[in-house]
Amino acid sequence: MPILRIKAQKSGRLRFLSHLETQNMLERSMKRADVPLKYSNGFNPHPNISFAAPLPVGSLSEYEIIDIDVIDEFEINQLLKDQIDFFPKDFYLMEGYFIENDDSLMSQVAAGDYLIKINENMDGNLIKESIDNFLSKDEVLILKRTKKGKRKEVDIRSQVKVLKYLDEEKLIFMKLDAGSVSNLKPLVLMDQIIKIPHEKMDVIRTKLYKEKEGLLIELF
Amino acid sequence: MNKIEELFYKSEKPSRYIGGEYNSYMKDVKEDTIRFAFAFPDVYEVGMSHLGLHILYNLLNEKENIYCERVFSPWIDFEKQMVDENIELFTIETQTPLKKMDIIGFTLQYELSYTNVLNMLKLSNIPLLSIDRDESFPIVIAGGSCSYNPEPLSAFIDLFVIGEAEEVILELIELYEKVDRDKEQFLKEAVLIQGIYVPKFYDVTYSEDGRINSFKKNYDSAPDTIGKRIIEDFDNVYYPSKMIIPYMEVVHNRVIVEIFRGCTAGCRFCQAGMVYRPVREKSIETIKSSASDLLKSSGYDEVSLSSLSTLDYSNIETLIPSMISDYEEGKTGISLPSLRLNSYSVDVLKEVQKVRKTGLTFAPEAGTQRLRDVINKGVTEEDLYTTMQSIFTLGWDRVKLYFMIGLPTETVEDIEAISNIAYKVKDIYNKNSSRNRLNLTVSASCFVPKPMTPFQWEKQDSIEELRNKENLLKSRLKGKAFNFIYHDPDTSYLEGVFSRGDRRLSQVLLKAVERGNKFDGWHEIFSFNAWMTAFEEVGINPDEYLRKRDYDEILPWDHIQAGVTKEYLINENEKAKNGMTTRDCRKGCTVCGVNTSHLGGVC
Repeated sequence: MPILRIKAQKSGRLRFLSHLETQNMLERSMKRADVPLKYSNGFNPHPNISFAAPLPVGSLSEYEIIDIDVIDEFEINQLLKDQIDFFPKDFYLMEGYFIENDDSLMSQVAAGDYLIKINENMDGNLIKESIDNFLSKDEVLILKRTKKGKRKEVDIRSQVKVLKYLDEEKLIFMKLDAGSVSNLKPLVLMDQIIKIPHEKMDVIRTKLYKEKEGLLIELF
Repeated sequence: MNKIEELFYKSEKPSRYIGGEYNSYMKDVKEDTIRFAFAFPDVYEVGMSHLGLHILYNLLNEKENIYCERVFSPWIDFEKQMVDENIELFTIETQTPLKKMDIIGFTLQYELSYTNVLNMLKLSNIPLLSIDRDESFPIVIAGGSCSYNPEPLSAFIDLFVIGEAEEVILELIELYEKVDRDKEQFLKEAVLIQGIYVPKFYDVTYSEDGRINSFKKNYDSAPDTIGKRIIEDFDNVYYPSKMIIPYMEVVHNRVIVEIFRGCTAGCRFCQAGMVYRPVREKSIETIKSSASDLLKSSGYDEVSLSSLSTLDYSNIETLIPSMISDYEEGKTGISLPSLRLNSYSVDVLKEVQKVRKTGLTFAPEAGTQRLRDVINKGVTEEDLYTTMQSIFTLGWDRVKLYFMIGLPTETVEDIEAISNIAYKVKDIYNKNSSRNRLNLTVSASCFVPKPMTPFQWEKQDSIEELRNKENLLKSRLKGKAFNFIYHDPDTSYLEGVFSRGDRRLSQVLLKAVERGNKFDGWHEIFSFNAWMTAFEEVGINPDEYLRKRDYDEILPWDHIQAGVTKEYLINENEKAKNGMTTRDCRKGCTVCGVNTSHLGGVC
């Protein structure tokens, strides 16, 4: 059976949806659009929809990659064209194609790009200094809660691949480990760089990558 | 990012407040737009499962000159943030403060939401008392089933809608435009519309023992009694073709199609059964076309056929198979709330289970045949056991049985009989099922006498009596097959006070809200002690409201007419005392009076 792989944008107030709420929203929208969803077998059949990487509540994204099991291939362009009738306005399907079997998206993700926009008057030099200070360290240990509720010490410095302040745009750009092996959330890093209340920042995911022979390749 | 949106970051469930859900309305507000806030005095997810919200929201928004927005009680975490940041309560759609609305319409579904009604006004910096609100404030109206006794809220609400709102709400807005939004003129002319009650046009006096001495109008044009509104042509009544789809997980992810209004069973405790008379059904075509529209526009895969007693629908034997054959392909489930026990229900279940096996709930309501006759619940133990045998054979393991405790004439034997039924059902399961996974929920709610029912004169059990009965059941329903759930008698006590309350309670409500009481239906927030202090401060003994009433005294809601006559209710109450049943009125008229008062002769 084919899998529909799509790239989507999540903007506006939809940033406040949890991962589960986003999944449900997508499932319902797909059903309204009459996408031929493939249901799982079993007692309580449900469609199979999986996201490459869950987005934290409060974050925006220009790069949501989603796999959806379907029964048949269909005209994707038609869906992209008509989507406004079936999707909430702040969720926008950008592109899509069909694939046959592939490893699960989630297991492939290795890194992500993010932009941080600070919605408060801030001295750019101060941000730059703080970033340089962070980058000059060999190790930055923080306590993280594991899934089982225990606390674990993690070095987040090694999870940061790129971190810089873009003067002209007044944005912070970061490339961070993402996925099931090593994962760093942008705001966890921000908290270590400079203290700004989370509601004063927009976090935008701009890309996700997989790793191939030591190189990062765009996931989509 | 505005100030309100910044608060969303700090809320435990922001999807309660963000709006913009699929099928919600975003409209341009123009000079002449009538702005209406549909106010549900509970948290978002409760309000969004209320059918009336979806009906009126769409009905109003389909009119170009009206913009209906929603507002709910903010949950306590968010309320605190709002107060700290000086943010007034706002509508979901456009984040406009309630103060800027033309009309705020509260829906009153349960008495324990009254503090939330006042709290929502308070969070909007709108004066609570009608008398303190001048022309600059919105008109505050209310409707819903609690409006059949509007008196406890009469000091706060400018106008009540009694009965079904689909037609009268538009008549009210038309009038509002006609009088150029002049509040005084609006109220004066509104009383000429059938189903409208404006409390300030009536005065009540009380005698020393707290009984009502007189109830008189002080404005000539106001009617002496206020008759409810009903929709006569129910098959053609407005029904939405879409429903707002919440982002948040709500209790049920399904669309609702109302298949009829009213109920003919005549259970004597049931307010809905009395006030929604007469029964009016929709045709199969109407039902199927609604279901198809709603499923298409929602993305849900379950449709609930809603009514007070769904299997009593005249053409149910055609409707269910025909819907099942329409939908099986697309894995759409049909859910049937409010099942009555009979042989046919099992046949229907067999059909429905082809699609999806849902949990089953039955309501024998009382433990003995004697008591079921008293309350006129036309169900026998035989019915129950045959049904159980069939459903267990069909493979169900999860069943819920609903009972009430504190019913008139109830004795210890009646309570014990509830647990006997539970054990008998367990035996039937063991004999008819090859598995060992019975999950039998026995739910006991506390009986609260409701206005407009034959039991409106009866005494309500005290908290202590109810607690003893619950403890008795608790001690008898042990074991892993049983799951005994029961209501907190403290909240039923308060519900009882307000259910049959009068205008004097407005002072208590003010005090209670001042003390921070809210979300009284939520166990984790409800504070009985704070309530008792409020009663004490006002000098009202709440016990008085639970007392037995005399047939000849003036009841606080006597000026409201639900169509069923007082003679009928008295007669039913007398028959109850003698254990005499009354037939289902589909089998012959029982002369309740609704046909002569509202439909001119025939039901």
